[in-house]
Amino acid sequence: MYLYIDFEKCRGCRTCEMVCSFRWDKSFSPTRSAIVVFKNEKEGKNFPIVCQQCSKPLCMEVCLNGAITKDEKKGVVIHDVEKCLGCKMCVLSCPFGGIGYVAELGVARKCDLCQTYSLEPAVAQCEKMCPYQAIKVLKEEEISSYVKKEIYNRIQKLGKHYETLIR
Amino acid sequence: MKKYFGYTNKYIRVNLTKKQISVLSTPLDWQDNFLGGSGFGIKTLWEEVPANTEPLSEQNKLIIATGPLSGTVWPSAGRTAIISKSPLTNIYGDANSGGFFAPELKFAGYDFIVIEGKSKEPVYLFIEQDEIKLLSAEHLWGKNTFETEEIIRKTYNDDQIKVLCIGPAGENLVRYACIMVTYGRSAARSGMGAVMGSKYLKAIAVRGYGKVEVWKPEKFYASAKKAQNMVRTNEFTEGESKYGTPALVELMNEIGRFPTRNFQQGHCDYVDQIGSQRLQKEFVTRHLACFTCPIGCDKYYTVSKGPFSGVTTVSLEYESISALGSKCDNSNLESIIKLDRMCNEYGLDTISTGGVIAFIMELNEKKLVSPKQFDGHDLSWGNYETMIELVKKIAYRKGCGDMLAEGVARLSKMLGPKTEYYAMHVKGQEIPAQDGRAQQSMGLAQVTSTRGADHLKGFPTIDETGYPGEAIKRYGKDKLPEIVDGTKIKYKPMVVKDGEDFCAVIDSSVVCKFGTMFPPALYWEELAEGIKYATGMDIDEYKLKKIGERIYNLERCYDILCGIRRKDDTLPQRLLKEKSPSKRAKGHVVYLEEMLNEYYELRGWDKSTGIPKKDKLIQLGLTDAAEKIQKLKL
Repeated sequence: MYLYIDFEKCRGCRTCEMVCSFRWDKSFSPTRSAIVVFKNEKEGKNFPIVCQQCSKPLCMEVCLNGAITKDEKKGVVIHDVEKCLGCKMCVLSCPFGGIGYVAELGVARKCDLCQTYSLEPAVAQCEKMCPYQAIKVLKEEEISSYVKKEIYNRIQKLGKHYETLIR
Repeated sequence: MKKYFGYTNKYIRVNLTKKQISVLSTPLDWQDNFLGGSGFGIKTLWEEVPANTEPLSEQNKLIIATGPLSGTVWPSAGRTAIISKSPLTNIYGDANSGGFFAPELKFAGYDFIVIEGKSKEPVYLFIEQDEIKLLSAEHLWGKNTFETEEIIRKTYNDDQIKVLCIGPAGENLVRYACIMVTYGRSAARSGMGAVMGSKYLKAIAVRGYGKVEVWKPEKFYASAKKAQNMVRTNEFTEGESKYGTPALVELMNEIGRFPTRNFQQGHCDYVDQIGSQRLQKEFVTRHLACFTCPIGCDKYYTVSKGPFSGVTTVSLEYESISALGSKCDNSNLESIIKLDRMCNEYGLDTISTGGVIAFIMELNEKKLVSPKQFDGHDLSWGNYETMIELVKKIAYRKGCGDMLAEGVARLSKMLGPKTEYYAMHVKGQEIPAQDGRAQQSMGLAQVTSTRGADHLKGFPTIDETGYPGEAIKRYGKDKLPEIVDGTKIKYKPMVVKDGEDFCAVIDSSVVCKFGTMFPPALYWEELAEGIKYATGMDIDEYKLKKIGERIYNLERCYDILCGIRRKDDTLPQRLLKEKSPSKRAKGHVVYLEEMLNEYYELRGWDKSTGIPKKDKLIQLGLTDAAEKIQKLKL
C-alpha cells in the first residue's frame, strides 16, 4: 500500500498533521505526526512528507533491533514501538524524511497507513479527513495505473499546449 | 488545582521598557468568563490599560491571543486575535488574521502574549518552547514584511518558524498600519501595526514542538469531524473554496452593495474586469488554506502579462478589490494586485488605504481640494499610477503621505468641514466594502461595531443575498420573508445582536468566521459542544451565549469610558440621506434610528446615551464595569 499525495490538490492546511498525531497520542501536535507538510510560502507551495512504504526499506535494514518489518501482503512497513531503541538510525537513513522521532517518548514514528490503529477496518485517518482529497491510499496493484492516470489528467489540463505535444 | 484542557494554561508577559520577560499562569476565571482570543484581549485592556491612554504611548498594551480551539483539528482554527487600544479610533481596537501563528504559539506552550512598555531600539521577540528572547531588530527595521519573515527564518535556518511582523507603515506609525501574519495574511484593522511600531517591536517569531491536549479526546475528535463535514458539505462552500472572497465581487455588485467611487453608488460597470471569474481564469496560480481549514479561500495570484508582469500576491480579498478598485473607480485588475502586494509589503490595511485615497479622489472631483495640496498628483478617479505613488508615500509618511497616513476622519478635519460629508468612516475607521443601503443589517452592524466601522464584528450575512434555509434554521420560519430581505429592517437588530455575540465567541475560540457566519454552517450548538469537549468546561449553548454577550458588553463599556455615546453610533450623512442609485438598494438609505432603538432595547443599553444599563452588566457578571460606568459624570 502507498499513501499517494496529489501536490496540486494539497492546500497546506495541515489537517493531516492534526489527525495523525491524534491517531497516535490522542492529542494534537505536528511534531508527533508521521506526515508533515513543509511549506514554501514564498511560492505558495506545500510539500507533504511521509513514508513511501519502500519495497526494500532502508530503515528496516539499518534497524539494530528488528523494530521495523515489512508486511509483504499489504505492502506496509511497520514499526514496533516496543522494540524501538530510539537510536534514530532509521530517521537518518530514510532518503525521503519519511520517519520522524518523538522526543517526548524517545522513539521513532512512521506512517503505517493506520494498519496498526485499533479502528476496524483500518483506514488511513488522514485520507478520510483531508478536506481537499489530496491524499489517497493505493493498493500495491493500483499504484502504477493510478499514478499514470493522474499524470495523464494533469497533462490534459494543459489544453492546447498538450495537443501540440502529441502532434 | 482545577485546570482546563484545550489551553496551555501559560502566557507570556513582555515588558519592553524593562526588557523583562515572564511566564505566568492563564487565570482560570478568565477562561471561564472570557474564553480566550479577543475575550482575553478586552479583559487585559479593561484591567490594565486606562481608557485615557494615548494609543501610541508606552502605557498602551498589545495582546496576541489564541483560544481553546487553536491548534486542534477543529475546522479553521488557525486564526490569531490581536487586541490593543486603537490609534486610528482611540477606542477599543482589534484585528484578526488567518494563517498559522496561533497554533504554533499553542504548540510552543502559550495561550497568549501581553506586550507592554516601549523599547528604546528596534527589537523582535523570539519564542521557541521555553526559550523566550528579546533580540535586536536593527537589521530588520525598514525591511518589508516578506523580507522580515524571510530573514528571521534564515537566521534560524528553519522555514517552519511562524512570524508576525510590521512593515515600514507600522514603523512610521501610519494610523491604519496592519500586522502581517505568516506570509501575506493580515491582522489589518484598527491600526494594530502602529501600536507595534510605537513600541519598536518589529516582529514576533514562534516555533513550537509541544502538543495541545483536550478533555475528552474521542468525543472532541468526533465533534470536530462532524463540524468539518458540515462545513465541507454546505452548499456555499464549493464557491468559496474555488474563488475565495472575490466571489463576492459579482454577487455584491448585483445587489448594489459594492461601493464604487467612495460610496457614490453600490455597483460598478466593469465587474467583468475585476471580478472573481477573471481572477480565476487569468491570475489564480495556486489554491491555499489556513490551518485546518476545509474551505481554503486563500489563493496565490500571479500576474503574467503587461506592465505588472511578475507581481504575485496572496489572499487578495473581496475587500481589497473594492478598496483599491471600485472605491477609487480603478478597473485595472493588474494594478489592484500590485497595490494589494504593496500594502502587504508595507503593512497597510487595504480597506483604510483605499478608503483614504477614494476620499481625496472624490474631494478632487468636487473641487474641494486641489492636486497642489497632494504633491501635484493627478487625483482623477481610477488613476492607479497615482495610487501606487500614494501608497508608497503613505507607508513612509513622505510628502502628502504624512497627511493621508492619519486616516479619513483626521484628514477631513485638516481639510475643512465641507469635506466631512465625503469622509466615509464610523468612529474614525474607514467603512469596508459593504454599503448598508443595500443591506440594512450591515448598515446597523457598521455602527454598533465596537472597533468602529466594520463588517466582521456582527457579520450579518443572512439578508445579504438572502439565505432562507439558514434563516429558518437559526431564527425560525416565522421571520420570513423580511429577515432575508436586505432592504427591510424588521428583525435586523436581533440578527446583528446575535451575530455580535456569536462573533465575540468565534474571535475568542479562536476560529474563522468562514464556516460559522459564512458559509453559515456551524452555530452556537456546534461550537459549544466543541469547546466543552476540548476544555472540560461546564458549558452549553446558553452559557456560551452569555460569554459572547459579556465580551461584547465589556468592549462597549471600554468604548464608553473612551467617550463613545449614542451620538457617535452613526453613519456618514451620505448613507443616511443620499438615496442609493444602485440595483436593489435603489431609493434606499440606511434606516438607522429605528434599528438602533430596537438594538439598544435588545442589548439592555440606555436608549438616550447608548450606555449599558447597570442591571445588564451585573447580570453578565461585569460588576466592576457597572461600578466604573456609574462613576462617569454624565
